[in-house]
Amino acid sequence: MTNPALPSPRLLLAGATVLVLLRLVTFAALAWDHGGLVTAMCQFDCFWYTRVGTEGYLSETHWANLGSAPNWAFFPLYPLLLGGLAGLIGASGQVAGMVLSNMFLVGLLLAGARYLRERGVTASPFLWFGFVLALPHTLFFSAVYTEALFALLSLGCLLALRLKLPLVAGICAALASATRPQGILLAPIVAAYGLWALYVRRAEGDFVRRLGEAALPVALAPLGLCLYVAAQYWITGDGLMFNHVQIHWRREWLGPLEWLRIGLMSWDWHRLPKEPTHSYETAWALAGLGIALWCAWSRRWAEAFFLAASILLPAASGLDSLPRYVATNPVFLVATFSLLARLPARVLGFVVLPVLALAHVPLLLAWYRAWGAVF
Amino acid sequence: MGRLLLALLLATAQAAILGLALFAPRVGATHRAYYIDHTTQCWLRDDQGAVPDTDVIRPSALDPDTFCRLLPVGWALEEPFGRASRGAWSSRTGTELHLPLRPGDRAVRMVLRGYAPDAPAPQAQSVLVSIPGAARIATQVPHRGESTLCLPVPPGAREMLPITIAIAHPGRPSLVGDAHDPRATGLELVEIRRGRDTDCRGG
Repeated sequence: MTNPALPSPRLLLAGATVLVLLRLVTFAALAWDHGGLVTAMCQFDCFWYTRVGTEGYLSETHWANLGSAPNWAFFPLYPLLLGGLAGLIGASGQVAGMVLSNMFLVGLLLAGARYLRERGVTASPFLWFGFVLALPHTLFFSAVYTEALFALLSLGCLLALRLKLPLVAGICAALASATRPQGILLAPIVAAYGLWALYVRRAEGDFVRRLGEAALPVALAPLGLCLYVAAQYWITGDGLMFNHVQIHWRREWLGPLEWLRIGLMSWDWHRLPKEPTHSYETAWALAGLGIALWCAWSRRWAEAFFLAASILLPAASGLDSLPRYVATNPVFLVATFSLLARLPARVLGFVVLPVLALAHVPLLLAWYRAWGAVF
Repeated sequence: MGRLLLALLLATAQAAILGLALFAPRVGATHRAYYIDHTTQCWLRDDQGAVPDTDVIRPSALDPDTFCRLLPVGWALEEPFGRASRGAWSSRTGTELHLPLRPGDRAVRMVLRGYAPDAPAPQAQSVLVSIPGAARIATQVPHRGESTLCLPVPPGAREMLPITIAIAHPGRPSLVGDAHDPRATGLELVEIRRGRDTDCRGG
């Protein structure tokens, strides 16, 4: 099969930027009655990220008598960048966060186009752009949330491994682990690559040099999380504060199988779209696990592991937010698109993407109203 | 060689950080109880919670701040299904309550309900009650049944009388909620009666 080259980087960058801006214009038009784009897009965790970014981890949360403690649930890389940009351009935290997220989204679209080409998918990258932007729940890529940055870094890690750049992969994994707790899931992938590289190059000699080349990315991969743990230990005395404060979000450890069973038995679709529903959340989780299974079937072990673990880890303590975790997972996006790309381009472009975009609209409006089904 | 040394240095430093975080947190007792050991659902503050002046105190009727002031360790402020309808269920083997005493209170009666699915026959929950300045009391509360325990107030007791209750055979609280609740529950504190005019010899 031929593997046609991608359009020029400039054309791709321009296309991705224009499409992201067009989506923002659409979002803004729909936000007209909801206080404008920036106000309407800032819901739930947005307030946490902007406060941590602009006022720091020790700022008062005004949540019961808990002081600043719950702030530590929010990993530092995104709020650090948000605070830095807000200070640099003199904008509010919400504006700075939206600028950042949408820049990262453009980066994700470009990295995804390259990754898909490496994966053997020859469909137009502009269809890929349209798929990501139209898929319901990907509104989080444009919100003051970590989804775009995390997806960019984790896809960057996987892409770097495909391109045989393990040091870059290790750095991406380190940054991802400073962005979200799931970033640590990239560490075993980088480690497995290192072992594999050691094995296949076993005849090359100079074992110490090869061991160093394999070990450094592995040692780098969890660095973001470890630095965050060190900072928490230094400041609060509790290095695992980010985990301990999860009790405030009422997450309860029952294991993923039990939670998915509960979700399947709940059959509470009628609560959509105002409230989170176990049925809806479980449907997304199962869709994601199905795609992970397909990745495993296709012997794409790293993708299968990352997607499955990214779903099963949060599902062990609850079903909240699973639609977001699945829909914004870069492996879910590239794997689903690589399936859809088997359709004729016209069907994908003129039927599938419009249907997805239409399904996105009620979710966006529910988000603007801070309805729970979306978060 | 340089990369290998750097990798080893990073790995050692990260292992040390994780080791400190896991095994040597530098936190106070309150933080440990609330965030790490989960022995309390209360984030304690001494100045919070109005002390009730009634003869009968029912945990289910207390606001959260007062609940936390009176039942600081080992009692569930909220059940997985919400606040308990009557009393408060224990959530660990060792529990502590702080009973506000009024001038003249001579005895405290605690109405307890037992929960001991794993206790040997005759099925009952064994508890050991300790009050500073008084002999410890060992008693049994029938499984799924209520029992009233009378405690004499020791002379010279302070305004807040600390009472610790050790529970011998806690089990999973399927009696009160869903069977997935992982806590070790053994006792429900249904209500507390304080008496100015009674002691433990009479009714």
